[in-house]
Amino acid sequence: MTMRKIAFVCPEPGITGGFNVIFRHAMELARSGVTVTIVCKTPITATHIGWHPIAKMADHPKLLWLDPQ
Amino acid sequence: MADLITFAPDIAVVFRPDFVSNDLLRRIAGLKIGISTEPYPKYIFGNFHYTSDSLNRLKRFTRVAVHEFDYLLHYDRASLSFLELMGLRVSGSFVLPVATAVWRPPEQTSHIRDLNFIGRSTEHRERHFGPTEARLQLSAHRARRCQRGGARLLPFRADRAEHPRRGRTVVGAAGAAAHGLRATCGQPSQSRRTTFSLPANTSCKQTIRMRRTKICLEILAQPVIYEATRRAGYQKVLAELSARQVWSRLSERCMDRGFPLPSFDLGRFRLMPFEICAEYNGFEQLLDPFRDDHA
Repeated sequence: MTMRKIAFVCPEPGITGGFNVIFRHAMELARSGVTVTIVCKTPITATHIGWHPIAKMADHPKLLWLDPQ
Repeated sequence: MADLITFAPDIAVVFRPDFVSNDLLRRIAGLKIGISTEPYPKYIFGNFHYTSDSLNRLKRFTRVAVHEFDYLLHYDRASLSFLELMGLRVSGSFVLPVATAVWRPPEQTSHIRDLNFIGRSTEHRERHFGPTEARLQLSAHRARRCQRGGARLLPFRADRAEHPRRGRTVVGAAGAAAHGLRATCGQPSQSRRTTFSLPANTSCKQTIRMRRTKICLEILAQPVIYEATRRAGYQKVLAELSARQVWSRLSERCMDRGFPLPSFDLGRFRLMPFEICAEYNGFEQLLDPFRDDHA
């Protein structure tokens, strides 16, 4: 069975070691062809990811930023 | 979360699984994996190792008993036996990966100077900031214990007399309660400030004591052993703990149903951590970690 889509469900986004790990996971998975989304209680904005390298690939076709509402 | 439900992932990885609703879990397609990354008490060689902080985190984690995860993984294998004593049998442990592409061994970071970190005191931070503070002259991490109601918290509070003019860079928390602190630390030295939002800390009523670690001194006193340990650890990280390898192993094992299902002994589960500790070790040891709390 092949994983093609994965969702990371997390609490509030912030500058934390935990989100660093999650963002890194998301980056590597997207690069490897898996469709990835990260969903938090509040929408993830450019401000939330600006500190992390994932901001440079925010428009990657395999990275989806879903609305939690 | 309609978009998430429509997305229909093959795997939904939920961090802090105690905070997600069961209703949402039921509506998400695919495997639901809860990953716990909070420190919980440990039961090692007949002794309990815990703090008031880890007990409080465990109490929150017990909410997952009613949640319908396919797999429930905890990052710290050493805590699994204690969780089992609590009647909470998780699917297994999950080794937190290291991003080897950006991870730098200590000697490559020795040029970093004059960095202030302001943050809440946790066991993890105390353990890791201690050596870093000595090695990198990190002017950082003053934390004091405060009390709010019956629960003990560890809010941050920088030493204003010492911090302001030492750091060129301040990394810390924003928020109403921290704003004055940031300004105090940053403005006198024209520091570069990197901040992030946290809820305002309104619980700081009484300073009890300051916590500092001396682990750094113990490690640096044995440089040969330290260097050998560091190099061995770095090689192990490269070989076994890179993000790509860890995640690949986890996803494949979950998709192949290679973990046991989590299960709960609800009769046992009602027991509070204190009662478990008392049953296995008696109250004397139970109180040891809190001996200094009332100093």
